[in-house]
Amino acid sequence: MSDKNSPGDLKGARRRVSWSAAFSVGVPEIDADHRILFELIGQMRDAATAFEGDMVTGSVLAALADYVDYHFEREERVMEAVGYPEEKQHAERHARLRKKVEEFVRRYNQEPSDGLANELAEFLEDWLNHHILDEDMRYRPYAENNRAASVAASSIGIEFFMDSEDDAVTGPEERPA
Amino acid sequence: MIWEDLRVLVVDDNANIRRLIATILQGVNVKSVREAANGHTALEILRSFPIDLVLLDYVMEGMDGPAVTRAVRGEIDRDGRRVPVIVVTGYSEVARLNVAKEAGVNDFIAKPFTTKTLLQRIARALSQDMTLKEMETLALQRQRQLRVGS
Repeated sequence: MSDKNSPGDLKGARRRVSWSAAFSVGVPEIDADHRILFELIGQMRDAATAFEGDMVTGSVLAALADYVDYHFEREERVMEAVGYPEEKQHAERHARLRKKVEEFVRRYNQEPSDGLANELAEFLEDWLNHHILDEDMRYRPYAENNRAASVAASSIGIEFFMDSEDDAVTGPEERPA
Repeated sequence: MIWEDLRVLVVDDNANIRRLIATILQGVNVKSVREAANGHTALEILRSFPIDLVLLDYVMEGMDGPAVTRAVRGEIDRDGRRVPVIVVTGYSEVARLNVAKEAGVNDFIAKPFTTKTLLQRIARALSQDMTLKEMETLALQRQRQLRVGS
């Protein structure tokens, strides 16, 4: 494992954190979610200098917000299924983070800026890094090699994104010139 | 629809958008996502590999989105099976979108897009373009799943 990927190491310049085995919580589906979240955070950092940066940043920000919701739902189902005693407190931390992300999205939509996008990327990277290592690891002994965890983790899928109408409708009939 | 088996082609000259769409699809277990940075490469891929759905940028150097779509309808579609094409664009003027529609595009997604929009539009385009044979296969799969679950 390279220094660059060492969990917990965010000293100095904003070193990127990416998923490594040290982040594994013992549930493959949740590990896969964490990989995606780190990847999206990396994309958020790259978006500022991207071609058509505003479109990229807006789309990555929306994806991060959507995927945070999706991942938290999965994790909460797993914690409940395995009888994790600190599930309630853990879910409360999720709720606080959801609100924070919603707030970032609202501020960005009001006044898009690369600075705000970078601020969110840094905040989320720190949050995710510490949340996995300090909080998620506490349910690992309950969830690892536990069939109930595996069943619960697989119980959420594409339907999560289908359950309500999207609100970003566009098309010739729907968006006048 | 079994998303794990879906074979998607993402065509966009913006590498960040291609990477984002691939990540979103990976996040919902889509295993096969190919990428092309222009229309010519997209058509080469479509000629060489089975693709279930194309997500296509509108404005690109060389062949634009409608030109790629016309080539798909003329050359790639076979035996009554239309490859669903969704245009993902930052340009949503009606005139431009009508050109794409006339070229045979199934649907549109505006950039910036949400994950929910992207996935819902994909689901809709796939269900619209299912052939009778595919619907039969899906119905049989569902019957089998019900039997296993009961």
